Amino acid sequence: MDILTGKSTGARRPAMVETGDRIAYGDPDYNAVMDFLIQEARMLDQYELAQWREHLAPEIFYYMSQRRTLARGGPALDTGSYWYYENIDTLDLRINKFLNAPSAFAEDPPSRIRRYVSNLTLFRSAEDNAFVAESYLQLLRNRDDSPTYETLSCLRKDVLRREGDKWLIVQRHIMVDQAVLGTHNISFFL
Amino acid sequence: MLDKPLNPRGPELRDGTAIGELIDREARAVSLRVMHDAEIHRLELEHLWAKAWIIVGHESEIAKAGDFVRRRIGEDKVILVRQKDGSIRGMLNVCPHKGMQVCRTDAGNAQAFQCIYHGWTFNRDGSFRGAPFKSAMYGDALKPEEQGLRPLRVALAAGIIFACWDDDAPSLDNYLGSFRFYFDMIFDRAEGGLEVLGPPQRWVINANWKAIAEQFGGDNYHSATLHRSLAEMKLVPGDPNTPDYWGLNNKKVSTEEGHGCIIFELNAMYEAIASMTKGDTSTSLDKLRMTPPAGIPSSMVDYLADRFSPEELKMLAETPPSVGGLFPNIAIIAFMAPLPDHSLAATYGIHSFMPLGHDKMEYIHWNFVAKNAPQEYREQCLFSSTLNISTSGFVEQDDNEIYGALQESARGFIGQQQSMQYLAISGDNKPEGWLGGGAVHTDFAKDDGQWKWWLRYFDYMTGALQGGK
Repeated sequence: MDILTGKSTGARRPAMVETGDRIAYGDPDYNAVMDFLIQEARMLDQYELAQWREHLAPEIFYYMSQRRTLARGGPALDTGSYWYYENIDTLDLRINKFLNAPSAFAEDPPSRIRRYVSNLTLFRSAEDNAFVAESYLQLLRNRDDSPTYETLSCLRKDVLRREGDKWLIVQRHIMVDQAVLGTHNISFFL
Repeated sequence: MLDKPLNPRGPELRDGTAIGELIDREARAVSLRVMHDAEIHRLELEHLWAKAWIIVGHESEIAKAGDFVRRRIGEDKVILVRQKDGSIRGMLNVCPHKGMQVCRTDAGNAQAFQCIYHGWTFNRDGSFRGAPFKSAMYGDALKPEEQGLRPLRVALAAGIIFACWDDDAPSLDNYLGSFRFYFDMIFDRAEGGLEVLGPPQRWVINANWKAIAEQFGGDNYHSATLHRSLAEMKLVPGDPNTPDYWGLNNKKVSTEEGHGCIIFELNAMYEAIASMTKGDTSTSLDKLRMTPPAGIPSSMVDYLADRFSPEELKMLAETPPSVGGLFPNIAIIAFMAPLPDHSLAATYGIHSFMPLGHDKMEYIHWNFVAKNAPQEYREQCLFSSTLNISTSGFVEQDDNEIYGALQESARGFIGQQQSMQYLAISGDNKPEGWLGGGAVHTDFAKDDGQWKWWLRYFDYMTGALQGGK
């Protein structure tokens, strides 16, 4: 609760988006979404965060789930605690930290990060211009003298909206496969 | 502790150096070698992790009979299990038969634990339950009473689960010692208790666990530099070139047991808020209603007047213990942090730093909230804690950049001859009428707390605590 205005603040979990028919590989919509995801990875790899910001919907909910090792039949993902739990305000703050804070030491000197996007499975939604996109992301991060990479391998489930010839991320759910995360901090976007 | 030798040597390392020689008590310096030495790590497993009380979780993680979690103490995997009578038992996760882990999941609910290797089975309390074809295989050779999972002492404080291998170690009360007052003010303040917000976050850092643990002994000095981006983002108004912006003039508490905390001064904050909201600040409860302590929604503030004496309530409102450390490996975080719209939200939880060898650690983070808090408040705690103190948090992001680089320094032959210095000591200048125990340091964010953390560390490592406290 905002103590000054009494209005509630914080991230808001969006309603579930109904997933429609699958769109096959090679379909123009499939190509357009894949092209966006590749261009998005390129922007993030090059730390073009101001440009990336233009692809975030104002109502975005951006979150990254934790997992545990549980017996078969247990929940695949945890709820209650998250690696990321963001709305547009906190994403703006994080982008602002990277772009404008001289003491953002976690990424200065910057990491060398390569994002590999693949295995797109695309669905229509109830809205004509909105799609549900599941993609794999392998992120390799290298810092300082290390000859090895910190590796994060994840499934991402996005809700993407097409506005003219521009794509907006309305929701992003990042599902990393590690129970114990293989990176010393998360100072980058996935 | 009177019979404790001043400069105990403790066990010798292979090159003839005694552990006790790695601390220079006159110069107040600790050799960097302690950060990067496999032999020291081995000695820590024996002298520290097998002796001290270690936090392994919160009771809300295992609420129902049969609920269990798998955790670690030092390098040893253990299981914590809720019993039918509501108590919690702890045990080594090693089958006494051939050494296989009997529990292979992080959490769950079990009637019994069956080893998947040969099928030996253990009850929820760790006692031996049975083995396949037992009489054909063993006849009388297997004595059930000798074949339980190795038991672990378990004790709770404010619902937080502590465990200890050493049957001769003093009680948890004794272990928390004079810090108990501050511990209770931070964690025992919610009607109905606390609970965790989801399972803990875990990640790995290529650094020795002590690189972080000593910082939470009381190092607030680093904030003004390492966390300067907080000021650069203008989340908090004020002049970051002044010590007060970073709370460097706050009081600090340190105890002989190696625990400590920073006392936040909140009166200026209440005045600032009151001037904008025309809020009432005449009583402690008025102040606490204006900005409740971390983890407690405003609807639960009135309980605090029942829970605490008027003097304690005043302390909780105006000068609460807020950030600190429990020896050996726990960080305490309990304060209100700004959200992007400049409102304040609770960041509340603990970190634990567990060794994985001498140059790697597992970092574990739990978020806490009052069990009876409404859903909206819980969401906000999660939002704020993730933004600030998770591994993606603005604060810990930059902290976690330090430790791996420090480890690289300690890797070098010459680097190991360097030391970590604790030159700035203010001594005990406890104000008149101070409610809590331990020493209180009132002038600037000096090194007293971290230095006492190290004294305690060397008490354990040299065996100076044996036979006493």
